[in-house]
Amino acid sequence: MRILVIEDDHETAAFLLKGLRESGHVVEHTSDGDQGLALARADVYDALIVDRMLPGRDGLSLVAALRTAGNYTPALILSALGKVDDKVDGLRAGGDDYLAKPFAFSELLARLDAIVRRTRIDLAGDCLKVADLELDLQRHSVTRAGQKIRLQPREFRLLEYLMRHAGYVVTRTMLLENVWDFRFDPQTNVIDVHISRLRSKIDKGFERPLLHTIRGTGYTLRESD
Amino acid sequence: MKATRLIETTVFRLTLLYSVIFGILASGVFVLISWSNTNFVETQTRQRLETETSELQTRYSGNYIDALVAAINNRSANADVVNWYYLLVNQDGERLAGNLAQWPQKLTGPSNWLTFRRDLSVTGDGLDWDRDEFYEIAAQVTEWPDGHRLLVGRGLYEAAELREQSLGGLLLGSIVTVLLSLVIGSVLGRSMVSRVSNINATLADIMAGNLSRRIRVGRRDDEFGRLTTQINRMLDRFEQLVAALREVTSNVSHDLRTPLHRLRNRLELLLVSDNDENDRRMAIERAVADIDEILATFNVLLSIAEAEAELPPSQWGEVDVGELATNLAELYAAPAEEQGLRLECSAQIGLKTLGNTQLLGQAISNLLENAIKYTPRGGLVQINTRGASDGFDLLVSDTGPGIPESDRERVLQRFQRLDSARITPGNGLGLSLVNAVAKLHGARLVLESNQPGLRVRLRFSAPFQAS
Repeated sequence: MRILVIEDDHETAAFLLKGLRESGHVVEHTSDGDQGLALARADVYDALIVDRMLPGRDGLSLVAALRTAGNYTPALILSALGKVDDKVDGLRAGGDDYLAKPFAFSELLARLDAIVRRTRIDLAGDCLKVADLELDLQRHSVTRAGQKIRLQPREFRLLEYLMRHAGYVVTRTMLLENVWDFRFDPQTNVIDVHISRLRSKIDKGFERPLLHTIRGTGYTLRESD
Repeated sequence: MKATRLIETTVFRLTLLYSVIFGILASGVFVLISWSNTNFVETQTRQRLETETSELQTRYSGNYIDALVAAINNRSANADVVNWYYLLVNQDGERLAGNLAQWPQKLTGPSNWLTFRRDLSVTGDGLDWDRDEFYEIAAQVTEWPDGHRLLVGRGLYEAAELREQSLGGLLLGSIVTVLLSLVIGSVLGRSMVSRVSNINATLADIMAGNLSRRIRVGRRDDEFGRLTTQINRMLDRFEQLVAALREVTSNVSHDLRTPLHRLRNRLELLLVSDNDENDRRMAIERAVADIDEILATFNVLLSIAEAEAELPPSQWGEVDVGELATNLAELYAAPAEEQGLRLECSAQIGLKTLGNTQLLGQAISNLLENAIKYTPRGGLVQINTRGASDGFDLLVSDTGPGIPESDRERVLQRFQRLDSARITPGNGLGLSLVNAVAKLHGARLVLESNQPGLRVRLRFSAPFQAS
C-alpha cells in the first residue's frame, strides 16, 4: 500500500516509517499539517496516518478539509490524548479510526488494514465466504461445508466482522469496539473467551482450522496457517 | 505595630473619612445657624431702634428742641443705658446733644437704616473699648424739615459675639470629633490588623509546610469567624488532597516499580546470556507483555483522573443503565461460565441517567470482572436493577468471600487490595475507578454483604424514566 504519514514527532514518525516499510508498504512522510494536506490532495494514497496535533494545521481540520473536498482516502488519526470523547471528535471530523498513543505497532497495522479494507468491501454482496465457511447476511445463517452452524446473535456479528476482515489481523480492542460497541479496556481477556467459543463452533470437527490466534496481537480468519 | 500599617487599614481610613464628612456637615449646620441668628438680631435691633426713634420724635413734636436735647442728654448720662448711641445736630451740622463726637462720614444702607464704626463715640458706655473698638453700629436717622437731624444707634456687638461663640464651639467640636475618630479608628484598626495578622501568620506557617495548622476561630460568629471557618475547611480539603496524592505516589512507586524491575531484569538477562533465537524471541514477548501490563495500569489511572476531573456534562447524553448492564452481562456470561460460575442478569431496560456510556460501561465491567475473579467455582454472580422513589439501584452481587466491613472504606482507594487478593492478578485500581465514575455521575457506591459474598450497590439519583 502507499501510505502518507503526517506526524511531527520524530521518534514516532521514525518508528512508523520503519515498521510500515518492513511490512512492505511504500511510505511518504511530512511533519507539517499544511504540507500534509497539499500532498494528500496532489497524490493518490491508499491510507493516511495523521497525528492530531501538528504544526501548521491540526490533524482533525486536515481530515475535515479533505472530506469536504470529496477526498475519501481512509485516514487513521493518532493522538496523545487518550480520552474517550476525543475519539468521537476524531470520527466526527471524518477520520476512519482513532488510535491513542502510545500504541502497539501491531494494533496500528491491524487498524490500518481494517480501514483500507472496509472501504473496499462495503460493496460486497449479501454473502461472505472464507474457504468453505459461508455467512449469509440476508438469511442470517452460517454454514461450513454445507453444514448448518447455529450461532448466537453476538457470535454472528463477531464472525461477520472477522469474515469482513478475512486474511487480516484484528485486535481485541477492535473487536470490543466494533462488535460490542465498548471503547474501554477490560482488565481481563474477555474477548478470548468469546473467540474460543466461536472457534469451537466453526472449527471443531473440521480438518483445517480457519480462526487463528496471532500471539500478542489478536486474531485472524483465513484459509491457511 | 507601625503607624503606617495602622493608617493603611481599611477601618482607620473609613473612620477618618467619616470624621471629614462629619466636619463638612457640621460647618454647613453652623453657617445655617449663624445666618438665622444674625437675621434675628438684626430684626430685633431694627425694632428697638424704631421704638426709640419714635419715642424721641414725640419729644420734638412741639418744635421744642430743648426738650429733645434734654431727653438725649438724660439718656447719654444714664449709666444704665448701655450700647445706645445718640447724636442731634442743627442745620449747620453742629452737635447739640449725644454721645457721638461727629456725624459719621460713611453711612451705608438705606437712608433710615445705617451702619458705621463705633470709633466716633465720645463718651464711655461701660464696654471694653480696647476689645470692641471697631464693631459696627446700626443706626436710624431722622431729618426734620427745619434741618435738625437725629441719629439713634445701637451697637451690633451682641451679634458679633454670638457669631464668635458659635465659631469657637464649632472649632472645639471639630477638633474633638477628629481626635475621637482618630482614637476610635486606631483602636478598631488595631483589632482588625491583629485578627488579619493572626490569619496571615497561620497561612504563612501552612505555606512553609505545616499543613495541619488551622486558624484559631474566635468566639464571635461574625464575618471574620465565618471567613476563618471557610479557610479552615478549604485547608482540610487541601490536606486531604495532598494526603491522597502522597498515597498515590507511594502506591505507584510500589505497584509499578515491581513490574518495571521485573522487565528490566528480563532485558538485562537477555543482554548477557547467549540464548538461541527462539529463547530470545520468547523473552522479548514476555517483556512486551510486561509493558502491556504497566500501560494498562497507567490507562486505568488516566481513566480515574479523567473521571475525577469532571468532564463538562454538556458532552453527556442519556445513558440507559439497564441496557448497558444487560449488554455487559451478555459480554461477561461466557467468561463467567468458563470459571464455573453462573451469571444472571435481571436489569430493567429504560432506567436512564445523564452520563458517559463508556465510563459507566468501564465501571460496571470492573464490578463484573471483580465478581468473576473472586467468586469460587459453582458460585453465582448477579447483576440487576431496583427502582426506588428517588432514583434506582444497580446491584452486582456474588457469592465470593466478600469484603470485611472494616476494609470496605479502604478498598475504594487507589491501589488498595485485600491482602488475600494479592495472589490474584490485578492492579488494585478497579473499585477506585468505579468510585470515581460513580461520584462523577452523582451516584453513590455502597459495598454490602450478600450473605455470603459481596453486593455492590450503585445508587443513581434523579433518573429520567423512559415514559
